[in-house]
Amino acid sequence: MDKCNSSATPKLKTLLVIPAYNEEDCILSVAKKIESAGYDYVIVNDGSTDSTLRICKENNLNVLDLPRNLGIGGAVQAGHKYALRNGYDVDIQVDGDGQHDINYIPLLIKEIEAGADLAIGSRFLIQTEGFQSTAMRRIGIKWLSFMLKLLYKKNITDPTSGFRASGRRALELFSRTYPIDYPEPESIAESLNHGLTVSEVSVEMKERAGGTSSIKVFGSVYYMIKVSLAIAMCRIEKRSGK
Amino acid sequence: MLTHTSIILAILGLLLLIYIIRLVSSKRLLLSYSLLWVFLAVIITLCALFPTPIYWLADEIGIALPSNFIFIIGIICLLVICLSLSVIASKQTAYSKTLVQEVALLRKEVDAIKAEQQNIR
Repeated sequence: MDKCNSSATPKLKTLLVIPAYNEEDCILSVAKKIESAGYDYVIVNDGSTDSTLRICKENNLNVLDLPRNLGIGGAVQAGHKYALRNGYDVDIQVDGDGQHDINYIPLLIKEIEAGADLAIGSRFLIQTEGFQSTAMRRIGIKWLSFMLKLLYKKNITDPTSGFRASGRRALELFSRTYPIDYPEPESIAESLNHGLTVSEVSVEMKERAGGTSSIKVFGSVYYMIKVSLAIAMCRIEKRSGK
Repeated sequence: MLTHTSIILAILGLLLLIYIIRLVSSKRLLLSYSLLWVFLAVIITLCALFPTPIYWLADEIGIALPSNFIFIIGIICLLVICLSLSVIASKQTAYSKTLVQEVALLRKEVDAIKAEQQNIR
């Protein structure tokens, strides 16, 4: 789908990547909204055990069907590879549960056009009315922000946000290497390791429309320790002179 | 008191820990799989540096020699690590099987499409 204007710079070819694991409740409405907004998209079915795939096939939705469940990291990376191989300049991760508001997509794309390699939609950049997540998760998010600031001197207010746009350089990096366990914060650390420009854009997110989150108890200390270790490991790798 | 042996062991434990950290940071070892190894390395180092609690604990549990106690701890750690490796290997087997089957099915579809194109010509 070419969006070349006769004047000015050609628009960036954009793909929406929709990772979906057991999202039979909302996947159709999410896809329909995106279709009517005119974006290219690909739903990455991450080995769903419910009727997500059937719904996609029945409604002729563009779906990439993973033979097995890989988790959010593997599913999103598959989307990045698809975007790269099909000639897209930028891809936007949009969760299959309807939490991400696609009205903010032009804002994310503009940030990429302005030179960012990775543009993250942050719920906390500016105080907004939108869904701010539970108190426990906010504490965890503040901790991760602190870690990134400490280790990378970079202020990221919403390191767990999956609502993000990846430009060419990010697509190439993520297609080669993408974290499995805690992709959102880890991929930020990885991007910073490789000298990519990471910036944030203020967005609002909605309450989860249906289904259940795959991150069961975010507030659990174990999760926080593991993510913190993961970011620390990333930082050590950078220091060892890659 | 710290003996020659305990200092050597503590250094070995630290070296192991450093090596594990290097493996994880260079992505040759996944963080999730490294945690048990980190636990083992930390236990070795701590036991070497602070033997007194080990003597006391061994006594409490009823083990004759503290060294036996350390061996038991070490063996249990290795057992748990081995078991987790078997679990991981099992998962990998299932994934590999799926991949092999998918590749075979894809190849068949591709051959069918090629044959169709031949017939059309």
